[in-house]
Amino acid sequence: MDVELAEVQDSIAAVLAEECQSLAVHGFIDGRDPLDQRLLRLAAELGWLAIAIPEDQGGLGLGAAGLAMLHFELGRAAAPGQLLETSIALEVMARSEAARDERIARLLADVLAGKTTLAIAAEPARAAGDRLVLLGSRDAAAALVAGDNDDLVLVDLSSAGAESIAVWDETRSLVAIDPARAPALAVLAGARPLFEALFAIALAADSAGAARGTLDRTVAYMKEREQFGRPIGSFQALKHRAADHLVAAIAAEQLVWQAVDNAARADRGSVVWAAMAKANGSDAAVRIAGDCVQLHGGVGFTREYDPQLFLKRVRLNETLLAPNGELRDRAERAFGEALRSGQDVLEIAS
Amino acid sequence: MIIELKDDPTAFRAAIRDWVAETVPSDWADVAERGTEDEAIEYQRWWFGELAKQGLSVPHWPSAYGGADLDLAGQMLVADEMARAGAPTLNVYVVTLNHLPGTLIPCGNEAQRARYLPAASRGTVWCQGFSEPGAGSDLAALRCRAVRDGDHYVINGQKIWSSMSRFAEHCILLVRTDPDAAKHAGISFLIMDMDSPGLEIRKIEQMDGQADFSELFLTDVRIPVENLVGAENDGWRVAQATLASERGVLAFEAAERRRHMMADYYRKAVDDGAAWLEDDELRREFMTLLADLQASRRLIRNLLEDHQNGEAHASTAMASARIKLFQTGLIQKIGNLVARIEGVEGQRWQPFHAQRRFVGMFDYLHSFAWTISGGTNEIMRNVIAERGLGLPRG
Repeated sequence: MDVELAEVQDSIAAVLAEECQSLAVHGFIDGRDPLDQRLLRLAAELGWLAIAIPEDQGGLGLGAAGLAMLHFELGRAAAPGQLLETSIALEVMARSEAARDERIARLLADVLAGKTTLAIAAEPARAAGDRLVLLGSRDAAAALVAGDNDDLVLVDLSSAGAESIAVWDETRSLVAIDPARAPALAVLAGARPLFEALFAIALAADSAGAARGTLDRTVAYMKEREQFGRPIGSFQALKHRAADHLVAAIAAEQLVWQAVDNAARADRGSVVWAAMAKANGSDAAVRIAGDCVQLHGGVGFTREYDPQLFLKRVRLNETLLAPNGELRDRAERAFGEALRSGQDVLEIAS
Repeated sequence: MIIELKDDPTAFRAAIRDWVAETVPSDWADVAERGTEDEAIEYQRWWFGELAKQGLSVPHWPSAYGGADLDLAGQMLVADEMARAGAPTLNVYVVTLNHLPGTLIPCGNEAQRARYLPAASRGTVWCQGFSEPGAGSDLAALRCRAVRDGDHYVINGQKIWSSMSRFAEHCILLVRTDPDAAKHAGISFLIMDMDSPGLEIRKIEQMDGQADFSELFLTDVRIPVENLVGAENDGWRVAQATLASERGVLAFEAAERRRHMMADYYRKAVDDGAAWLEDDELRREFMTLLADLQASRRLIRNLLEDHQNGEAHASTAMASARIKLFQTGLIQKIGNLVARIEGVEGQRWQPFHAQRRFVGMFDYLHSFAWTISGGTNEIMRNVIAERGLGLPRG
């Protein structure tokens, strides 16, 4: 990662360390603190929402790498809100012809200013019928959903009567709509591969960050908590698990960067590595976050402590976009096609 | 000599690629697998000799001792080309290529360096006599005894897990010179000739059908005092240099070879219409491991980059421990998967293979050599947890 990117990531981490501590997140899920709204305002002010968008369109121009580091840090802090879906939708729309339409451009400006948020299809490949589940809040202005073939459709949610679904992960929200009540605002031709790649990368980054976040807090707890007259972190049966989790978390993070390296090329390698980063990364995060509950012992089972926040968050991540088995199948098909056409997707740029 | 092109990476790479293609018979791995392990070792000696003629046997060594001062980027280039070509591996030379210079350059004297390193650059084989039956993970508990007798040390004791020692000319040996001192303080580091009277080498039959490792029984073996590396009773410090000797490029090459083997394995499965490609569980597991391999290749590259940038040893040592744990676990998982893919056919006994393709059951069984040796993975977990995560010692 180059120096400029590392500095941006450090600055995001520093803001979240200040604004999004454990107490604040618990305040949010208990309904005492509108932390999601504060973070949305901060994200708008600091340019996080536009982190990927080219500089000439008012963004920070950091592309997929920017999205990855933002969502890694948000995951690490278990940050509540709609930043994942909003930032992906913004980036996909900004790169589309549709952004030239005046009405769409106004909507984008409102979103960039933090006045409203966007939603996205939770499982873009699933046939909608009369009920479509979106990742996003009830007051999202519009949503990106699957269209014909590789197209996406931006639909207006203002009169869609989006209905909240109470989900286990209280740091994010899902809503259900009747697609018939959400009229199309624009068709984004051929935008779906990019959308799915960025969605996968953001989920992979959020999962890798969450894995690291819950592991770091668990290790800190293991140094503090004493039983049998010594810190529980001194027991090999526990510390070996922490070591395994660290290694798995670091590997998951590397796959995020592999997917980022391929994202700009929008080729088969991009399909392979985005899908695998999300599949392996969210699987690893679920294993780590589950064991972090266990490593905490009794307090890990409470609502008061943090492990549950991360476990529920990564379990939601695991289900989003597409089941991990299906993502591995998509990756395998793209890997096979690439091999047949003489493209080596395993090559790592030096 | 190809090494003379080292300052022009494009020409250097092209020359290596062409030369390997001309020099290594394309069916070398099949021929090797029809032969015995001993024949395979002879093959490695031949290959080392060919590499030496091109200045490619020890390019990473200082030029004063037969090397070419090749920088890390150049070493990675060579390793990458060997992996792409599926060239023969040099397992028998691991100690020669890495531990020997890693020890003698910082800790030996000039006479030792001049005597042993140039010869090693031309192909003498070295082995390591460190572990003992009672000193494995707890290496400093070693008891093999050396008593000074005039200008010699007289050695009595036993060593175990000495890799490739049946084929070696010299051995780097840890002995106890002061039994009364604290456990780390009474150890010395010696160089032993493997044809010394009183040395008996007994090979250890392994569960994978190979016999890479041997036991060494030492009865009144006499080693000249000039073969002491470092000061008497300062052997533990010298051994730390040996164990810290840089093997990052070795790990890099091994991972790159595995990457090509994964792609070859998949390509062949497609060509053969293999049934496992239709099996959701096996196909998806293959992708999981392919991605894990990609992650481990990136981690190794990051480690080498940190080395290049002169990152502090403590942080690169931690990265090495993490990579060892992840990489060896992955090797085991790949062996496990391939064994299941191959089914009953894969149960056919095959005691040796050339590491040019996956052989499920062999790879699976052999993988325990990786998870146990070089610091068991349990020791790695201790290191990562205690020195990396700061968890208290037990």
